[in-house]
Amino acid sequence: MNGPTPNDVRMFFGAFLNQKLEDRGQRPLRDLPDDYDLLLSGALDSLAFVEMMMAAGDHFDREIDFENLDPEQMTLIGPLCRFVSEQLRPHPS
Amino acid sequence: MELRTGSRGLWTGFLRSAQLFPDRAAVVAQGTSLSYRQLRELAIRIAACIQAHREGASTPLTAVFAYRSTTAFAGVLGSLLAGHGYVPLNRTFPIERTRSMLVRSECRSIIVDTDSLPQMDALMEGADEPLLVIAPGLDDPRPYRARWPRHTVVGTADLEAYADWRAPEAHEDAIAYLLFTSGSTGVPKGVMVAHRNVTAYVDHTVERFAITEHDAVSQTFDMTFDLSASDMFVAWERGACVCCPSQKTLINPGRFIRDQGLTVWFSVPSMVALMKQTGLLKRGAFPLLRLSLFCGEPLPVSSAEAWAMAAPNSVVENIYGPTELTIACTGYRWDPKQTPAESEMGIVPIGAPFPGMDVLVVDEQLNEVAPGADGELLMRGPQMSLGYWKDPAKTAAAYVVPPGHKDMFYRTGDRVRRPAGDGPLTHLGRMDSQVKILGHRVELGEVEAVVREAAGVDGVVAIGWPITASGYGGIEVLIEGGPVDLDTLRAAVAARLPDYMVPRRWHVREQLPRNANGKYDRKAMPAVLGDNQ
Repeated sequence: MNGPTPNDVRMFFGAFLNQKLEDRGQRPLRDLPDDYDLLLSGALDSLAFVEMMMAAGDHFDREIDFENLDPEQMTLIGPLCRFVSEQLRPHPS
Repeated sequence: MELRTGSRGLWTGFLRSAQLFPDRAAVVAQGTSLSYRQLRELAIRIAACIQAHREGASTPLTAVFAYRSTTAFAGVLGSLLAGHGYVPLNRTFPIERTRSMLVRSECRSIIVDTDSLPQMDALMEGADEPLLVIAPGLDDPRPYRARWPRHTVVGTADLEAYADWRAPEAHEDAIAYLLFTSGSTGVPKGVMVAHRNVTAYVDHTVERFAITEHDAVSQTFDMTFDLSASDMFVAWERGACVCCPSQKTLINPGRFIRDQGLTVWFSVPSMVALMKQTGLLKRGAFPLLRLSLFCGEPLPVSSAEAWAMAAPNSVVENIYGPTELTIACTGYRWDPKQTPAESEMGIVPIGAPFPGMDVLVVDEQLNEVAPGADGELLMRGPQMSLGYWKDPAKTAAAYVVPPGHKDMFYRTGDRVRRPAGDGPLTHLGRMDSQVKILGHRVELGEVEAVVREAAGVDGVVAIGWPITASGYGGIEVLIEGGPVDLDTLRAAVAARLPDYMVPRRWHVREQLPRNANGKYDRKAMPAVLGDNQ
């Protein structure tokens, strides 16, 4: 198994975000461009961001290493999906 | 109230450090570092501008509408150096709440950072009186002047012209900051904290924590949370640097601690729980930290242990205090051998009062309880604030003279155990976290402690639910993180608690709601249950 692709991760994040927006009575996002900033757009705060990352770990059944997450770069959806996909790739044992 | 003059204003520590260490960094925020000289220069221009535009009888308060930026810090200092108290406003709050704070505080001047400017149109909708708007990062103020003809807008270049600053007279009873906290009625209460309250705190803590110009101090708190005042004024008193993470940086606080070379950490305990959950508290992860402070909510023993392991060279202190008693007024130093035995319900004690602060533990009639008994914590002393802004009724209800006493005490609303001997004060929960279940008095903190211990997780919140005519139908518990084997957990808890205290329903969530200050938001918990009543 190769693990989720960046696009799989993007689809998961899209569903998570839209659920959050719906809970707040806001309109869902139609698409998620690479330069969409999850924090600066106001879609998530830092705690909800952590929640989303942990939910991704649960969903794909792998732990995400927060240690290597550079928060200044990783709130943009494009780089984040690539980072998470890389993290979730099975490592050779 | 008679004003006493000739005493020390809160700004004096900063000015002394600026003289002693002009080239050392005073603040780092948004990737920008300002030396003491640079911060002093900017703050003095802001102060001179406020003084130049001040009108006779206006309220001596200035709003600071800035978020985790160097302007926020310069704004706080500029307000104080103008002889004004500061009123922190927060652009991440709903605009109606911020507008209500601005209107109620009657500020006639406001300092705004660049990222908060877009909210100013909405904020000024309620401003009937002319405002002085100081925006140190605004290159071209002309569009704003055109939009707001009744108000005065000062941008970057304009500020250069204000050099005529006059050192304010120090009135120790004058307001240093006016901080709005959530009120039980839903209307925020403005707590008036005087210069002498904060200097009493600073004078004690710089010695207690041995702060020096070599320290790099975290600022995890928003300025609308009074613990932020500790970071700023304690650091500046001794020439240390305040390091303020951006909202983004708070996603990975561990990296921030290392990148900034922090020596002093201060946060709410919930942040420890979150870092533990995300695997950031690895053994020896933060070797440079020499002091770690926690405040704002109960500190679980398990969180303190995990932190002490990650920061092996750090002293860990649990400090306690409501905004009304200025930042923190008791402290307890973690000791891996002694603390677990001194803790109650798995929560680290809150320790002993700071110098000059008197403690009284009382029953419902405000009479002192016997040693070893529990009751409401009342305190008085140099850190007791002035009361609530323009609200004598609420002030009279919270600041009381107990029977047999001559002095006024502040009612904290916190339930503590009065030490039987030399032991520390232990925090048992909020007075209002006691609920009635089928006629039994239940302390929710106790349920949380048992669940926390049995589940081996820190994030546990118990609530009374649903509301009934006589109290609550039962207890529900929410657990953050997991996974948890609920059958085993339920059995373990049932073995330790009477039936009426055993939670009827259990909910495990990745995250529980937190309020703006990062604490668990109890009022938001029923929504998590998916129930409406």
